[in-house]
Amino acid sequence: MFAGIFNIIGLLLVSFSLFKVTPITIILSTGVGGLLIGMAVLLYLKVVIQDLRKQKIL
Amino acid sequence: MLEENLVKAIGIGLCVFTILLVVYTIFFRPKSFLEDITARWLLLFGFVILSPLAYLLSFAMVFEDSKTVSFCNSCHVMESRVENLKNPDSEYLAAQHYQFRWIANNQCYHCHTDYNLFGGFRGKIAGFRHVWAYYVVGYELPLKIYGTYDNQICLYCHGPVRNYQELEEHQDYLKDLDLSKKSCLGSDCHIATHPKERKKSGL
Repeated sequence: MFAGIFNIIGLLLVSFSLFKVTPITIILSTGVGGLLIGMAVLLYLKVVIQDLRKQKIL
Repeated sequence: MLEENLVKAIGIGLCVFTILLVVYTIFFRPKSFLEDITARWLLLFGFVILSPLAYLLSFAMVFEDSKTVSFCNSCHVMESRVENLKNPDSEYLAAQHYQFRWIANNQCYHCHTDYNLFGGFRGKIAGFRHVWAYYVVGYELPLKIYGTYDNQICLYCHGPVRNYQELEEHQDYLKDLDLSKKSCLGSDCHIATHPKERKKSGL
């Protein structure tokens, strides 16, 4: 759930910089947006690995 | 321009598609994604492939856009300089380069970035320093360049030109000009690049 929210906010920031290029939108999209997208991937992987461990597959 | 707009449209489309995919998978599929193998694959596709792809596309686009004169002009402090660039009565060096299209486009970027392997990278670092000064620590007018201006930026275009090589004054100072020990501007040489702002500090 959090991964999805992070990913959506990250993508909104990324797409916002494509509409309006200013120093602030660039920092928000490449910095904050990238961080949120990265965190979403890590959270997703964490949940999937936890689930696989629970099922004793890993 | 058309190509740029197309890439931008693809980037925006990719972002919208990924957002819709993630929203649908998390909020609208009947089962939780942990119990639903299709949802897991959809999220994996959205998180690991589509999102980074959208990010990289946007990254490339915005960094290309950040070279334009209009981008430099998005900071209030640059307005007077860009106005002067476009003023038909201006005799300043930057305005001449801009109006006669001696540099075809991205004129600010070309004159403020070294023509070497890490020139673009150093330009970006200097850009972040500008943003920091503009929004956080403040700055003082008239603006001053960090360190000494590298004459090699001028010489990249003017160096191989016959007029430059044959002029006696250039011959006299060839080494100093080459090493940026002597500026191309001032004295009896070339006029200033930009008009000076009145003294004040700002944030």
